[in-house]
Amino acid sequence: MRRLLAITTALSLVAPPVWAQTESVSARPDAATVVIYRDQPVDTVQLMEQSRQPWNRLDHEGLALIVETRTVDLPAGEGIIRFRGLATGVVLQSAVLEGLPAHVVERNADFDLLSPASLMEKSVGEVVRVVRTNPATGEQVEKAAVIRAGAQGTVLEIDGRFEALDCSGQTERVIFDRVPEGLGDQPVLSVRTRAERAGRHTVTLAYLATGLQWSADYVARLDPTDGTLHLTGWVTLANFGGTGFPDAPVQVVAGTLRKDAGTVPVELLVRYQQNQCWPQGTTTFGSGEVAEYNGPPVMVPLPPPPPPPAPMMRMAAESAVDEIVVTAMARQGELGDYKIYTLPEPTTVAARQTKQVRFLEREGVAYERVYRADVQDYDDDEAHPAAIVLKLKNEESAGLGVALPGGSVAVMQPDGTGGVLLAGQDRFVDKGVGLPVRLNFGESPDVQVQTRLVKSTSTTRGAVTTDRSEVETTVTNARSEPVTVELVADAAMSRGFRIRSQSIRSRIDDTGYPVWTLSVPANGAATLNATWTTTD
Amino acid sequence: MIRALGPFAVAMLLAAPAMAQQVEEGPGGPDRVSLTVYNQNIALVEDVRNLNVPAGRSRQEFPGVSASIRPETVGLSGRGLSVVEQNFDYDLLTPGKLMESAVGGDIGIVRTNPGSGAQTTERARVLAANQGVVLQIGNRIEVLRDDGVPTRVIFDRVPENLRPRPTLSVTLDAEGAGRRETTLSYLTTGLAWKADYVARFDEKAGKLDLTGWVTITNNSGATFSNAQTRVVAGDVNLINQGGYNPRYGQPPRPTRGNGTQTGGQGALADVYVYPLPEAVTVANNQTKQVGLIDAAGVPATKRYLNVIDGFYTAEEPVAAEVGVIFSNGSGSAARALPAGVMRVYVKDEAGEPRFIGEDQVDHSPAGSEIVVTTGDAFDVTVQPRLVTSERVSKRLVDYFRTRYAMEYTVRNARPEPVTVEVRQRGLGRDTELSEQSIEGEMRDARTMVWRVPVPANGETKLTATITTGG
Repeated sequence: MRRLLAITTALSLVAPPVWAQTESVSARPDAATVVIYRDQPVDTVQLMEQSRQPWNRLDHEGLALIVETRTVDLPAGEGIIRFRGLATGVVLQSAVLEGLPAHVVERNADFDLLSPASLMEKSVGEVVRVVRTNPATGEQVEKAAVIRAGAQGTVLEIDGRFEALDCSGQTERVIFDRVPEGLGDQPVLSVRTRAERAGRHTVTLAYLATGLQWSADYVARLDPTDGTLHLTGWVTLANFGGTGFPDAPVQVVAGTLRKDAGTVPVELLVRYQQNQCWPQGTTTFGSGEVAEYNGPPVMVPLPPPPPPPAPMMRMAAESAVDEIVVTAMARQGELGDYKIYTLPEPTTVAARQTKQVRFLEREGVAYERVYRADVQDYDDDEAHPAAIVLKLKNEESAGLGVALPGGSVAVMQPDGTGGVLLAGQDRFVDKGVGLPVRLNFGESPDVQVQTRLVKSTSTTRGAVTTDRSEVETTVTNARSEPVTVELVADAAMSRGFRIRSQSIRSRIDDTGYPVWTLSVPANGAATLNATWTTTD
Repeated sequence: MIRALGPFAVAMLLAAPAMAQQVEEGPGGPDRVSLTVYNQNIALVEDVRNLNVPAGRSRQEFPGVSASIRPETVGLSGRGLSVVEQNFDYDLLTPGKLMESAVGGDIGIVRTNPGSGAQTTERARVLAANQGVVLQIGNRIEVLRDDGVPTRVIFDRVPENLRPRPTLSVTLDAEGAGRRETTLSYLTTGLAWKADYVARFDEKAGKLDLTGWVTITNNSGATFSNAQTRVVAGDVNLINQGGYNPRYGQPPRPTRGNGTQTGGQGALADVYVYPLPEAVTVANNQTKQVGLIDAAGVPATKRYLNVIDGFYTAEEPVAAEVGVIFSNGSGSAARALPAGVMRVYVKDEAGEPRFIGEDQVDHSPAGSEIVVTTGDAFDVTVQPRLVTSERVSKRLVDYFRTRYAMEYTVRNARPEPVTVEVRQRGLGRDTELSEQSIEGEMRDARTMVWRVPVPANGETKLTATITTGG
């Protein structure tokens, strides 16, 4: 055996080793820019709730572009540059490398994680050393051994004979000379280059990564005296990945972009060591093992990462009040057909952290508070509360006229004693300039709507049946101020819908539906009489 | 390995015959290997080895073949060789199997006295290995480690059928002894490829620069060193594809681009073959990328599109899709593009390239019109409104025939005029268009298309009256 080992050793010196190519390592970026996207609407509250569940996969969701500046040493001739320290959610096939004056022969990404099992499995056939410690004398004996079988119970060849590792009850350990190629603690991008001259270059490495998300949230504080509100917009950045970006310029992109289902980080392959010895039962101690597993190595999915520490979610409203003056604002720009917000200064997006930055501050935004209800063509047994709707126009003349990335809005109103009350919350989708914004805040117990079907007829001519409905809708207002109520006929989308008579003229509003608008006096009532037909 | 050792080492190995016969020397592997990788998680491996074959029947082992080999597809050829039978052994060597195979045979045991540390070596016969190991030592019957004392078991040999990895062995019948080149070919799963493209789009110039990579992913369990590799674009028909399928659960995508030009690359049996420029090592559990295409200045345009399925009123404006359209029909881009994912970048206001979205592209013969939908426009929206819908006939057979008056509000908050393609889908039979405010066209029997110009920071109302169905 000794002789054989000597040959093997000599061989590895004589044979041209694969790793002879000059290798250089770029351990970490010099600087990184983070651009966070949305491929679907993100709700801050839901996101935070999700992040507290230990089984969440948030490190595989979301999308960001990481643009890194790196200094690399380009080897002359054939060389390999290894880029380490990539963000944990890196989608390796999306990498774009620029500024390297060399021919890139190929790029590789290995996704085997270094673990006891992978170390053993990838070392099958290799020469290792086994150290045994005599429990009584403490004497250590070291022997050369060849690994004959790997992760499902190790079989060693020692002195031409065969033994199992860790089945004897003796203290044993294996010493490896090196880590097999392709095993690492994190994803690595290896670029094989061919260059005439060696040199040090600054390159840009851009890649997509998951685990980063952003959301928009608004706080609207109503001033009912003049019908305006104060709108504050906040960007929440969340990093569910394991990589922090210290002092990075950060941009967020508003607008829904298309993401391919395959753009996810490669699932790092973890192998688990299965120490399978022969049956270990004795006469003195039980019957030993259960059935032995002989199939292929089991790929156990990656254990979920530990839950992130409880995010430091501050109530946005509070910080709005406290920090308006001190917080700098994100600046809005254009990116193709999206809006891009650049955070005012480089910020640190630490791993498993959320962060909030203001991006919008508008005073004197005109709003209209109305009530809205459907009108059925059957008798209501009892009155229904009307929905509360806050209407804004995203126009300069209305005090707004800026891109509004979709998000949640918390509406605060004065409580009459100098404090504020939360009037309600709603969400809206991306709203460009010129679009109406409608927010629904539940139902009002003060404004009730009841419909009475006064007359209903049906006539048939040929195969056409025409239904005629005459309704009387009464709106009552228990508030001490007059309110505006919008009524929409339920039947408006039915075929042949036509209004035949109406006590108030309807108009088409920005929802595209015909709407009757009623002014209901304080502590009073108002009535709509309408008749419509539909054909079937 | 044996090859690399040279005659001297072979002689040395022969001098230690117990070693050479019982266990393979190292992982072994082919002398030359070529790989043909398909899109559908399958690859053809041609493995060439220089084998020293004795005359007559002999058993040859082929270590280093893919662990995901489909043994029923193995073919072997070589001068004067015929195959008697071939076996794919996947009985793996584990301590338990080793002990099982030693039942009835002799093993060595080494006990270490926990008090004194003294080691005693004995020979023992294994009587059984059920639940525990029962040994006969001389005329004593004992259970292995009954007293818990550390006891090493030493086996003299490993049975031939137990291997560290699944191994292919072939029984050959050879005419004459001697060294000859043998080609082993087989199909294996666990290898797949797709294309990854980066398109840098310059909207003002109406051009894009296209870079493409071939991305090969190897989960097959084997590393193919220095493999002459080619990838095949186009789906070949496969049956009973077992094991891991990366497209499992996804609908099949038999679609293609619409190009009619000949592709430039080796077109072969209705698929395209892309040989990689040089031999590469395709390692197990690795994703490898090799350059595929580099084309600059491809004419490209942007399109806003909104598809409306059916006749209805949308309460809120709906964002238009943004697509980048180009053709692989001219210039440096005049070649077939294999299916993959295209990622589009534009420059931001500071001139930095920024990602704006990605989309699947199908296998596209040269001359195809390729549409890459990147996402939804923030500033361009369409809001359909069903103004009226009416029955047009009193006859029962025309019950569903309806005249729809539609109004589409197309809004643009961008500082430049845009054109938005509005597609009304959901048309029935006998469609008649009685009024339209902008000249449109029937894209097909079910779809009307209008190209609606919208001024900067403005809106256009498109109206149309369509009678359809019945």
